[in-house]
Amino acid sequence: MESKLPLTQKYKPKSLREIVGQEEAIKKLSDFVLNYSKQKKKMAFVYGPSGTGLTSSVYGLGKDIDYEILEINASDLRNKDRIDVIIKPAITQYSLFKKGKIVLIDEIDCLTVKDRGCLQELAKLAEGSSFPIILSANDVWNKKLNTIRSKTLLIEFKKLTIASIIKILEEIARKEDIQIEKNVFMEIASKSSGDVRAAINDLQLLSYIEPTSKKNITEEDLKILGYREKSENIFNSLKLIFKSKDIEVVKAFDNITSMNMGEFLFWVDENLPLEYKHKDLEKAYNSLSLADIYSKRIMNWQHWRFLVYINLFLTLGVALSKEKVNPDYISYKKPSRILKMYIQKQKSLKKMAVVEKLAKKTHTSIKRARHDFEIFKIIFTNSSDEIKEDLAKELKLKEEEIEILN
Amino acid sequence: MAKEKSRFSSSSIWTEKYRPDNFDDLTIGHENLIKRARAFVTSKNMPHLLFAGPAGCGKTTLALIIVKELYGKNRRENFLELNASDARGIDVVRQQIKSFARVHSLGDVPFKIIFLDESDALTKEAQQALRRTMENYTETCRFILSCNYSSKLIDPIQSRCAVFRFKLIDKKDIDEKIDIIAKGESLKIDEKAKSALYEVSNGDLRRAINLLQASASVDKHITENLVYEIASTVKPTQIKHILENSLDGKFLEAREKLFDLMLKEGLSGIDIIKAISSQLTELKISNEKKLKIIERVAEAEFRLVEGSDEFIQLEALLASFGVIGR
Repeated sequence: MESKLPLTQKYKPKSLREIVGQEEAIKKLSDFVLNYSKQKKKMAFVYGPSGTGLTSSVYGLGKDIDYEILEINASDLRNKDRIDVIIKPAITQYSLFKKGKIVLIDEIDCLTVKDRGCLQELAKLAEGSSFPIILSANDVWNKKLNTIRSKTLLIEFKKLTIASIIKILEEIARKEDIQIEKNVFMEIASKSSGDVRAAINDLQLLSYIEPTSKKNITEEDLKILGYREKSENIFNSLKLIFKSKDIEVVKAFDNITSMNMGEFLFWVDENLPLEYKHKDLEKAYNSLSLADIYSKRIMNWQHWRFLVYINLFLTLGVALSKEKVNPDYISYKKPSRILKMYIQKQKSLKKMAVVEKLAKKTHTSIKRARHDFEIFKIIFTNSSDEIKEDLAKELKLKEEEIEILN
Repeated sequence: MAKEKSRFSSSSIWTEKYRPDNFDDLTIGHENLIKRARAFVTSKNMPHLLFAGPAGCGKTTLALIIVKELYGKNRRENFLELNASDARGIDVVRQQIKSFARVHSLGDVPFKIIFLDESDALTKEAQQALRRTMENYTETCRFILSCNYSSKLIDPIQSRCAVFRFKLIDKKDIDEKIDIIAKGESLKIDEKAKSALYEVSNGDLRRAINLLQASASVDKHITENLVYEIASTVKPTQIKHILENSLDGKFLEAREKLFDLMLKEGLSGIDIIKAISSQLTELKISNEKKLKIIERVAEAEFRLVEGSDEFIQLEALLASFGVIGR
């Protein structure tokens, strides 16, 4: 793989002509943009499953007709004010370098509480807009979108057929010189449930592995890939890691795609001391510790490739920490920590309410007030009723909060 | 003294009741800092300030006094107190701080004050956002940032502030404060009890006063033993059990207790690390082993900071104790 770009990026459609299998939608979309002034509905709404070309089509069209795209997506704050500040000038001013402008509000179904007022403001602005506004979403029937839906021209993108996905995969494999047996394409395509992006990602993953036979990637290789809907038993994966010292264990995690790495770490953590002792335990926990550090580093640096190492620490690292395999049968437990944390959290909610009030009153952080809580409890419990009353009044404690102090 | 006392607020929480609210009552050292702060008040002008120093040495108190002396009755309108360790994200800077800072002050002081406590807890992004805010709204708003470690603040912020370095309060000043409170509350307090208060609070005056009030709630005659007794109910003895269990290779038991301590008592990972360090001397193991433990503890603390899951990091530490203990 010479190119650093993921294949999905590299082969992103650059023109409407490269969009596969959405003829009808594309026709509607082009018409909407090109004849915008004649449109009754001032916004279009492209929707459909992910990986069917929603965003790509808008960009493809923009490129084809030399229009500028102004995109706002879920990563931007999109409340009423922001919409006003960003969109309003955009739809009244002409583009400096391009023939026209398309305003794309991507992922409109992912509005958060903080984005309040976004839809109403959009509807208002669209009335007087001289440039096409396009919304996109996977879930057009989302309740939140009820009002805005009627004000838009709906353009549906359909799931891609297996045949068209195969066509795309074959094309990419040819350009990238990936040798793959024909029925493997078939397999990838049918598992992708109409999502081209997912299919291309799988193709890329397959291209990374050493083919088992000759030079071709075969159905045999396909088996080691985790498929999005296929989830194997977590217990088997734990067994693989704990009971084997084979390099094969790196596949343990691929089998459990229904959960994320963090969840799997909980499982390993819970059961590790049941299997390992002493030196083995120390080494294995060192691996878990490193896995945890790298997951924080992903968050800090947004460098997702660290995932590879986390996977290795969790599987190979833990497996190879043991001197000998423990021959006893051990029945693995579900991670109890999350549940315990949850239960404790419910209990500590009342305590936290007191702590917050204490923090405010004594000009300190909640963190420090939490330390003070135990001392405060002693003070409260031992005080006379009169002082208790004063304290309760001063901190505006509720009845139930006084109870946990007594 | 009677006159002095009437100036204290009427709170039932002693840290508040006996918090000095004017420069004259500040008797905790830091004369230089107080002198400069007085000058700010007289000239009704001040730069952005950065208060750096350990907990319980008077940072918040000095900030509150500056605010009170500057604004008097208009304090509410002109002063915003935020605690960065509770609201550490960029949202706070973007919204709360900005919207407060951009509106003009009320009264004859031309600026408002935002007191941002524990500002070293702000995320890097929030600090970046703060940096421009401090500059853009200097006309209408001055900041007092307080923190334990100024090194955790990005350089551009440090360079925009006049730095006030606070030292740990001297024992004699803490003793003096304790005497004032003892008089005000009609307590009888032994000399040794004062030393005990100083020791268990590590020079943190806030904590010393809290412990004093807790002790006094049990008995008006405060002895050394009483102070230690109160302090030990706060300091978890379970740490010792955790240490002993893990050194014996009883990992599962140790882990169970660790979870309890962190979940039920709400101790953070760093709290546990600190407690382990302080219990170390009481363990009946060779000095070589103690040194090994210290090495592990140091590494664990580093990883706690670097990692995201405190349990995992502490479990790794306990597992390594199992090997040392053999």
